Amino acid sequence: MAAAQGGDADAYRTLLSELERVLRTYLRRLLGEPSLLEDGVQEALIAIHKARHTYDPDRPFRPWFLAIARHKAIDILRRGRNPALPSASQDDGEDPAEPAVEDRPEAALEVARMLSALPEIFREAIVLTKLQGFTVDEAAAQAGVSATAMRSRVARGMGQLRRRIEEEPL
Amino acid sequence: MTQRPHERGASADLVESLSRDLAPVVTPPPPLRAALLWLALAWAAVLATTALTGPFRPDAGLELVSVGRFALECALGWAVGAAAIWAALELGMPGGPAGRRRALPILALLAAWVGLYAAGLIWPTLPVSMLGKRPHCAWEVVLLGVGPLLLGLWVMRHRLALDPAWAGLLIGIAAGSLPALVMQWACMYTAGHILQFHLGPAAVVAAAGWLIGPRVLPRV
Repeated sequence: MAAAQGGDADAYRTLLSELERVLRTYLRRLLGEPSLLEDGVQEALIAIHKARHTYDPDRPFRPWFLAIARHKAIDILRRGRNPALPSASQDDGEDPAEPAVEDRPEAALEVARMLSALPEIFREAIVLTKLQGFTVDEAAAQAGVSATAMRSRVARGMGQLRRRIEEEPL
Repeated sequence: MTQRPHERGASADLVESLSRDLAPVVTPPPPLRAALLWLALAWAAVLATTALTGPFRPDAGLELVSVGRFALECALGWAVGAAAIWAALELGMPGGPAGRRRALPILALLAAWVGLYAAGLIWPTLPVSMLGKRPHCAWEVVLLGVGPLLLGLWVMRHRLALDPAWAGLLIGIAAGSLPALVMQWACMYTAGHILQFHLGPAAVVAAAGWLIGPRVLPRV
């Protein structure tokens, strides 16, 4: 990004291409609804482009761009285009990259379906910590809450997820 | 991970169009440096304008060095302004803590500052006196806060506040606290008067920042 701030178009093209893939994975979980995903990715890319002057090269890049991506996702959800619809499982049949079930596509689909039914704050907490591998502190910073609150969200979200799995008919 | 062909095409086109003719950008100065610059300019403007519109209370300087609680009130007031503008400008660089978390320490400082005056209603810091009273101090606080507020919002417009209401509120708190603090030395000193005619108008400036922030700060 520092090179892009100086006008290096090739570096910027490479960066945006990589970001596009990361954003797609990140926003898939936050937005839930596949039809919102493409809007989310493109709006996030445009937002990152418009805000590129606000990146401080002396600070980590990931929190900067994820903060913008998350802001765009919330923006899209607030526009009232249905915040709680199923996510990855119904997009294009790919598994949701959840390592524990990656080798079992039907299980991955099931987890994604149940995850999408959770309240947004719990779904976000689980996605950030359990699926994307952020630490509690990193996830808390991204969500704008304290580490304690994030820990609580993860625990409560996992509890809800567990209950849903247990209540699911065999 | 796979994508539908039209998605790949749309994203690739967008990446290409954003990369093409990429213009270099100038990054704004780091928040701390910008905050210090704002403080220097805003302090100079508020002090100079206050001096032009009336005298300072004759014994204010002596009280500042001889009455500890008065000095503490002034230090807290200064800290509120400095911390608020720094936190606001930090909000303009995405990736840090959210607005609410940035604002909480400032609100705690503000509460401590106001609390000292509230305590002064019962245990006065200085002998109750009308000495140095300015007839329109409340209006002066509001008007003197406008310049720093606009300056702060202008500085923030070169950044990106993802929480523009919090950013506006923090700029407003900083802008309002400056003239309220200067009135410690330029107007009469009684706790009730300060709460009503100095901090009350400062709250109006802060509220203005909170209302104006989301309307004038850039969005992405």
